[in-house]
Amino acid sequence: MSKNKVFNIVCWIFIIAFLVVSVFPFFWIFISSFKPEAEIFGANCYRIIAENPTLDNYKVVIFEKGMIRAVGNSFAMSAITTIYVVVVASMSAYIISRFKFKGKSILMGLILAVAMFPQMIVIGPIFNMFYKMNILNSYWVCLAYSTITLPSAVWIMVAHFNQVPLALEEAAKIDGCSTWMTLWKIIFPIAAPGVFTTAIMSFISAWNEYLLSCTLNIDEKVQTVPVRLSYLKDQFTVFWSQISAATVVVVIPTLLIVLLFQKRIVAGIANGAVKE
Amino acid sequence: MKKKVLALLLSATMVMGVTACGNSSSTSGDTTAETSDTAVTAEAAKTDAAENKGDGNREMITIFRSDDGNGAMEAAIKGFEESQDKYGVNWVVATNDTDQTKSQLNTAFSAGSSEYDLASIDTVWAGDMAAAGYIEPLDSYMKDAGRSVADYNKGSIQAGTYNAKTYALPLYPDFGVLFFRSDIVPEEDSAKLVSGDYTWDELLAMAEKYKGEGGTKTGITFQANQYEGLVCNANEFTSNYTKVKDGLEVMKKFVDSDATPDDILVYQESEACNSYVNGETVFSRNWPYVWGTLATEGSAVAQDQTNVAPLPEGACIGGWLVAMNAKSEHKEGAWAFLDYITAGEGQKLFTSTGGYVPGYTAYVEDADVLAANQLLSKEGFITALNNTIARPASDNYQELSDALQISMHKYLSGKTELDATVTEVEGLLK
Repeated sequence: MSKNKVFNIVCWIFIIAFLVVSVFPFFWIFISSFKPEAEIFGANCYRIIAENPTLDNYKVVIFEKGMIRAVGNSFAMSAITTIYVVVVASMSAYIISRFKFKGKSILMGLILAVAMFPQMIVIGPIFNMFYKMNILNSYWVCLAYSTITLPSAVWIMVAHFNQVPLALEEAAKIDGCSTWMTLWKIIFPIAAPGVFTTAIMSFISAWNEYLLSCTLNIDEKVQTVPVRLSYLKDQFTVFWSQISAATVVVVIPTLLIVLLFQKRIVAGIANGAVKE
Repeated sequence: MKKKVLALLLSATMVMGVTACGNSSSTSGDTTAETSDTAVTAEAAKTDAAENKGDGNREMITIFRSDDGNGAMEAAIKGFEESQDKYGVNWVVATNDTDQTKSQLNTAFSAGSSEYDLASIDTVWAGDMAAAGYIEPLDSYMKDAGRSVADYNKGSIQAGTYNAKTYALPLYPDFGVLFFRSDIVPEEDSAKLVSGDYTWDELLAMAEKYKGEGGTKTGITFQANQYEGLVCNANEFTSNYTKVKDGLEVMKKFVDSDATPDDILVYQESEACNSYVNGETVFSRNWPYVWGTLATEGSAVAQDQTNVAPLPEGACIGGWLVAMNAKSEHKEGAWAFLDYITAGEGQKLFTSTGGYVPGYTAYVEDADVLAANQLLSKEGFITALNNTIARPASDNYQELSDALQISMHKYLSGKTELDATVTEVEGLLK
């Protein structure tokens, strides 16, 4: 009994310590976003509430530094990438999972190999291609994003589709379903948690993408959030309070999505964990 | 089963919602999958429109440069477009992250892109870019326009020279100076500092002497972290790498002294600037931008408590140059704007609007420029400007700089001996 209690207390201490460590940076960013630049460093830097709290950082970031447009761009590009990746990955995963053909494992290995290419190496050729095709500074960057997420998406989807019992499909076939209909009406809904995991994963990796975005989309009009954040500095100084404000602005929409779809995300991740 | 369908529906709604929300900034789009195509076309059309701004017939010159947020670039572009009606300027804003700008430029140049006709480059990039054939030699253009290298800031011109050819012209030079508290340092020492007639050892002695006065915690701060700034600072300590042994020895003395912060080996510009602005140090080596910071709200030290002195062995040059893309399809127009902004009326507009030091020497005494930059009226600052030194030139500068940083930082942090370091550094510079 008392042993159990001690164990509980120790667990709680661990949890609290862990929470403090992981939540503290976010907390500090949040309070820093209300501090004037002069209070970020110097004698007053450890104050929780600034001596002269200000909303100027938010004003500057939203109205002058174009953060809202960047958030819009990021959303649009991440969403396009997600749709594209989910559609392509589910179709290829279905083929790989259900059809027998020569060189299947080689194909899977090849797909994985593509994902392992360091971005720094492929960025040059990708830039050349985009330049020659005259599609720099456009939403076509989503095509480049998908090269990063597509391989792992295919792998995850194959694992999920493999779990769907073959009997279901055969039943559908007997009832007169074509292969296409089987995919969209039977397999896809059943493997929904897997589809969800894939979608969330591609969305997040596209949202955080920096290198491709800053190389292919230099024009201010098509810049995404991570690139735009890098504009919040001078040659020698970093405007920490503005960066904090921008981070808060950027985190809000992502936080909302996560909260809204929390259950689905967890279900999706847990579903992929065990292979039956 | 119902649940699964619901899940799918939810996911679709989310994704669609997200698309709609994202595109509202570019198109007032519908929420079908076609939206992506619409967005692309709309965006492409917009970009085209931006490229052809100005009044129709002008040939557009594109320049890649960061925005310093002071309106200097805008003023120069406006002036150029008003001064003639043949060319217009399209400014692509680069970030202030120097490394990122460099890799963006290198990627574009190595693809043979003619996207940018002109690019503003850091003083140390000219060698690498010239060696790779990315940028155009400017000597023949300069000859035709009657410009001579002697008209420009000496250190900056050196930085833009590769194999005895000029590849880039100075937009504005930046150089290391010593900021010090004129309310703490007495008249006599102050005069000595401003004249530049002192040694590093004497400076260290002063820092040790005045440390703690007027609420200060330390004597002197400079940049000793392992990064490009260390190469600049060492350049000044070693008198343009001519006295490597003496210079590094003195530098080590500074690092070990009580008059510098314990963590001086991680100091970069912003740390040094903060220490001075917050009134923690008597002396601080930095670039001229600190002067502007002193005037902002929240600075513990005011401009009239501060004076500027040249560093004893010369001021390391920084700042920005302008170079022309060798693949440019508008070379005549590109040169016209390059010359306008580095030597013509545009240089005056640029430097007086932004408060920069002119790279074209004749403007240093111009009334408008002087009015915009108080530092130019300070004796110590002018002495520093006339005694600038460039960093070592190389056709693979990045590699050289990295090796120098590592070698010198190891010595300063006490991991290697002086003699071994000197041999290594001198070997690298050969």
